[in-house]
Amino acid sequence: MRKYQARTLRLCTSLLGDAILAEDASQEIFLKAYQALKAFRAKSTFSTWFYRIASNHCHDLLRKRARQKTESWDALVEEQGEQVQELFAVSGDPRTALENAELADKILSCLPAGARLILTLREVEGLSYREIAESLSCSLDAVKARLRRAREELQDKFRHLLDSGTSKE
Amino acid sequence: MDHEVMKERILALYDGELAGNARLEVQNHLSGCAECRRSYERWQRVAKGLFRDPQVQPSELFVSRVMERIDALERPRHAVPWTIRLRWAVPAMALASLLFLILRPAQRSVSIEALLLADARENGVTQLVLASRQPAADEVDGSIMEAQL
Repeated sequence: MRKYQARTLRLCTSLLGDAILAEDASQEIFLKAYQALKAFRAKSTFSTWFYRIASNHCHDLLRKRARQKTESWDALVEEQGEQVQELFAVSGDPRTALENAELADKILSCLPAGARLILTLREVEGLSYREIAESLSCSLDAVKARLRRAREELQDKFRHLLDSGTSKE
Repeated sequence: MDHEVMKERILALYDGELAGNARLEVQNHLSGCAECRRSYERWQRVAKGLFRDPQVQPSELFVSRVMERIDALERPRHAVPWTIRLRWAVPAMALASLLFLILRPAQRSVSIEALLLADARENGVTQLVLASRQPAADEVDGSIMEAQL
């Protein structure tokens, strides 16, 4: 448990953006893994199997949250355009790390649950395409396509802020 | 080269999924193509802004909480079988007793003697039955033999 504790908490915190929710979710993941342990057949590594349980659990939580969500990217850009631009600046101010983390969570929560999950597995957890494919039970091509779609969606939505940020520098 | 194809390879380069010649080819393209370079840098900034390591602190308290919950899951598994068994055993035994009591007299009335008498009656030997008494064994045997003859 100690071996997987940090990475489970990190995944949950990255996806849920809240330390308390992340701890609750991590506990649930360990309980689910314990209950499913008899079904582990070593067809994949234990790590991948565990990530699959964690990913499924977080995906369910994100989908539940998405149903309650009302904020949109357009509203966010309108209200906090400058902060978003600052977030994407090449040299971010470390003093605003907490505010930036909250803003990043707001932006990411506008993404579909699956898109946020796959981007987090890649960008925060550093999983390879193959590991992501095994964790999400999909093909390598599907991983590439989903990652590309999610990245393009984010870039397109904030392109004007990103480009104006570049021209300033 | 087609930019759509290259976009996917550029992302693969960013993700560290390219090696050898494929990696060199994309790197060469990036150094010569301003549009693709801009796209690559744009994503680098988005990723840097949005995906940061949340710096979590693992704790022993977390481990003990999970262990407590696992213990709680396990506990009822040992206690439940006796109560469940008792809960079902009482009505099951009552039902079995009831069935036994209902079926028992019916079984007793079907004796070999009664069967033999019925057979003898079918063959016209009714005087033994009309006497409204239990026939003696030799009487039954005699009537059977008569019937068979």
